[in-house]
Amino acid sequence: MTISIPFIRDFNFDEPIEILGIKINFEDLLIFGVMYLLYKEDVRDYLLFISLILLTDIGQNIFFSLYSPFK
Amino acid sequence: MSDNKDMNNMINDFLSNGNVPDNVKEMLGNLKSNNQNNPANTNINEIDQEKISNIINMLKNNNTNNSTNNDNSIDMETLLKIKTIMDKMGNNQNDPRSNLLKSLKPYLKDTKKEKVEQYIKMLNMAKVMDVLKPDGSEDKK
Repeated sequence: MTISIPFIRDFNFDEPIEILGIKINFEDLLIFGVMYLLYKEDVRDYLLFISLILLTDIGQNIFFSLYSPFK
Repeated sequence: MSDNKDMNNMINDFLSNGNVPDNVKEMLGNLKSNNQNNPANTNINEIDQEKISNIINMLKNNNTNNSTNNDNSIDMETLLKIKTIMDKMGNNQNDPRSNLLKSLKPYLKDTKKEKVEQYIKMLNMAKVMDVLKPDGSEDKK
């Protein structure tokens, strides 16, 4: 999916964005944004946060590297 | 005390019949003399018997009351818990957490869409586990 946004030519949402050397997908960014909004709204639902983190690629990698049974 | 008098009269009648062996006569004589010589013991025995019978009756009553109360309370508690669980399982559409995850679904890849469904199920299970807590308290958000 490509959307032409002024000043940002041919922004491809399928390709990961590189921020500080970390490649983040668009959907991960969206989820992080939702998490930030929830945090700002004082939502303290830890299970929801865990499920949202696990939906992101970065969160999955971190979680499974921490709790991998094949360590 | 009246029981002891009756008992003494019975022993006297029994001994007066004559068809009693000597050993039995001695035993009954000792029993009679004990009853006549120690009225304090008989009083103590009576009091003890009364106390014991009272305690037994109290225990019986308590046991029956407790058993009936426990049965009723367990039944009511379990029924209420089952009802709340069924309500919570049925009200999936009103759950904001699952609604949020569902709303994110169109923006995710196909592999993650399946995971969203799994996480919604997990959240529903967590809700049920909150109900099944021993203190019955739920996490406030």
